[in-house]
Amino acid sequence: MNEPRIISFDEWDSHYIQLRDAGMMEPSYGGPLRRHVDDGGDTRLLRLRYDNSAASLRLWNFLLTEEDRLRAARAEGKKLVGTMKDLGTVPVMAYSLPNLVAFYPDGAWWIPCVMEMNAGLLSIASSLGIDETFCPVRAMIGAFVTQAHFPLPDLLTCSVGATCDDFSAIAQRLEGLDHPILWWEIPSRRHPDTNEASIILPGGFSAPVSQVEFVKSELERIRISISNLAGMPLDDKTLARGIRAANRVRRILSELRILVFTAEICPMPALEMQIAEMLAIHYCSDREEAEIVLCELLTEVRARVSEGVGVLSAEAVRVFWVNPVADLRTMNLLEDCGGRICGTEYLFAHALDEIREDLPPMEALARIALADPMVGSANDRAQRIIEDACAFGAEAVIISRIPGASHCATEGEVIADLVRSELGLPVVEIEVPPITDAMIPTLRTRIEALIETAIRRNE
Amino acid sequence: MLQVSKRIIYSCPFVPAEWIAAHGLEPSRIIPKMTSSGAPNGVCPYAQAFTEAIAEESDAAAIIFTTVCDQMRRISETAAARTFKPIFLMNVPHTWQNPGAHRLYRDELERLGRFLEKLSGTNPSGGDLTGIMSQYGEIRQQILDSRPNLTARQFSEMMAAFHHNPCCFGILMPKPTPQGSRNNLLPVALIGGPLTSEAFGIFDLIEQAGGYVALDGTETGERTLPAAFDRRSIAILRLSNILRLSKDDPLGTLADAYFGHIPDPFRRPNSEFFKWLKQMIDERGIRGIILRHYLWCDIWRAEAQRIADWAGLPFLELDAGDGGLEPSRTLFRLEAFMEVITQ
Repeated sequence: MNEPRIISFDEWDSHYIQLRDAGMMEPSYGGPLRRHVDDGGDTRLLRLRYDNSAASLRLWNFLLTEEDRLRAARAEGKKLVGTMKDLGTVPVMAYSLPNLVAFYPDGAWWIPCVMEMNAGLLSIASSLGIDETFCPVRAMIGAFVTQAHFPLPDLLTCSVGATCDDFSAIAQRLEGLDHPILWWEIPSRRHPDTNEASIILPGGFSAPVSQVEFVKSELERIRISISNLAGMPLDDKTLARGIRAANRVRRILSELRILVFTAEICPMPALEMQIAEMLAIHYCSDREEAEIVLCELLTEVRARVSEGVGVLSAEAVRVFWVNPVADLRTMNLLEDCGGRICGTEYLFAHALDEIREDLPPMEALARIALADPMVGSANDRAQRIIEDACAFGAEAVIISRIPGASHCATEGEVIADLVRSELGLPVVEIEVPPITDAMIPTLRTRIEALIETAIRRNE
Repeated sequence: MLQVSKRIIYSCPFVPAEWIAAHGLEPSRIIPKMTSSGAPNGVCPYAQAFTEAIAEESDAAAIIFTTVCDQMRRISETAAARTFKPIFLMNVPHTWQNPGAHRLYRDELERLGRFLEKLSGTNPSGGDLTGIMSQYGEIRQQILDSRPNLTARQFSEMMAAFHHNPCCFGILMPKPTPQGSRNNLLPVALIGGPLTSEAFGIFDLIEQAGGYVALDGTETGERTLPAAFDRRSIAILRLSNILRLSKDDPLGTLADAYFGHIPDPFRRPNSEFFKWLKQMIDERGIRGIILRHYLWCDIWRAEAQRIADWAGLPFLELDAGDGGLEPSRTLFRLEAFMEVITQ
């Protein structure tokens, strides 16, 4: 094991050669990080700092080569399913069939950051009337227009109902641009009425049986479309196999999170951990490889934890982070300010929970879809955050607001109030646009103030 | 003697007033005033105005929110924290092309019915409901029939008055005023979200600028009226329910009239809204479209450019922020818009 360190992009050049010379085995998509800047225009990478392990390098290379995989899959005759908004349910269905590959067009929201606006996706969105008052996920519409970042899917699904208006409105515009969408309804999860039959969902929320049944019927519609696209039935046996495979990924990720968030010394930086969590939603277009990538990361983390080494000081303040950031650099910033990640809720806690394998598969998937923290109340979401923050020993909470996102208008206050009143932890709300460079001093001041408050509280 | 309030407040057109009234309660779809303090960053000014308005409605027995837009769904939590009054969040499906969505809406009406029954102690019979459906349907038709005799503002205000207090509308029905000649005014469509009370001035400003609202496609206006109930069917439904002759389903008819009919851009897909707009443009000879939307209203704002491109008519987008109507600025823009129409 090489000594864990956080290194710069430039340092990766020589470090890569050292690792390779030391016998690092690389997958077909391997190579130095720099090629993503030189060939792919991913210039944000120049400004980030990274974990120096081979496992992290593989994670980055896997993330940044997704487009190649999608094009290769199409060339092999596989059908592509674009699964918008549901964050981890329809991909499980699609990957159950061997000739389907699911991907997550919403992931385009990171392109303006990774390419530092050079792809022009936000400008295209603005030219279509989807301006900067919308969530950065508007980059997705630009990606569909340019067709330069992913091939157009053969089937496009989108969950609507209890979802943010930004996304629903942008997806509707997409349909208006002749990209047909199979819409499916996810109702606003509610608490069961007195004497109403109810179910405890993965993650601990409860829902009426009738809502689970409804979501199941919606997923049945998806099942039919997916089967038709694949030209083979997605029967329960096949789906159950897909669920087991999804759970393998979720279990690896769960162990990884627990180890990283609870270790005395932080063994893996926040940035790599955020990307690792994202793999659970859609596997970066290759489920088997995603499992291998996460396994390597887990092996590295286990070794670091057992040797008591890591990448940050043992004094780093344990911060629970709410919502994903549009600019990856923010995760570096937290560590610069003396913090470390110790628990997250990146909008998809349900995609990390195991799917029940002892239930009929459609029932199990309906339950996991309804366990989405975003389809229920902000109070429910806050309760889950509180439980996880307690479990991981968080000392402070950052709520990262997504610019323009409809859910961020009110939920931050609800979550912050509950965290303060129930845990007494300091909370700060920050807003993170796709490129934060001009705001770094402000963000730094706010995060440092939070860290100092947490330190004083511990004294 | 303490009088128990029966007023149920809401703002969403997908809440059937008939269903509330059938439970012995008073439906009241209110028109809030824009807040003087302004909405917090990112919060829809209308959602904020509605939330503040309900806090002032001391005689309300309960408040109904719906999931038609994410901001209203989420702000219902904020509202719940500020009031002791019962709050009901009704799931209105965004999809509509499959029977499951219709069933969900219908199930939600039944759940709403149980909530209302707890408040009033009344479990309405099918006959009760059909009676109210028949009565409200007739009033709506009267309002629609009176359109040619009213100014656009009167017509819109009459609908708003009916929604605000349908139980007493027959008594309070405003007298039509001759509208005067529209010969020299340009027929335009006003579309968009709901109006706040001060926003009704937009009708006057449009007339001052040389146009008139020949189609009120705002959420407050005729666009969101439920389908007319077929009088004969309602009469049969009513009779059969009274006589208990059949298992005909008045609640299903009510659900169809609302969920199966009201065109709105939040629906997925929202093709029915465009169909409706096309039909109305043709029927009313619309020469230009004015879209009035709230700041942070993603649903309308995302569609603005598409509507403009699709309609092929002069198009004006008015952004309604915290500042209310802003008459001088709005009039200036409307005048320029009317000039464009006439070119």
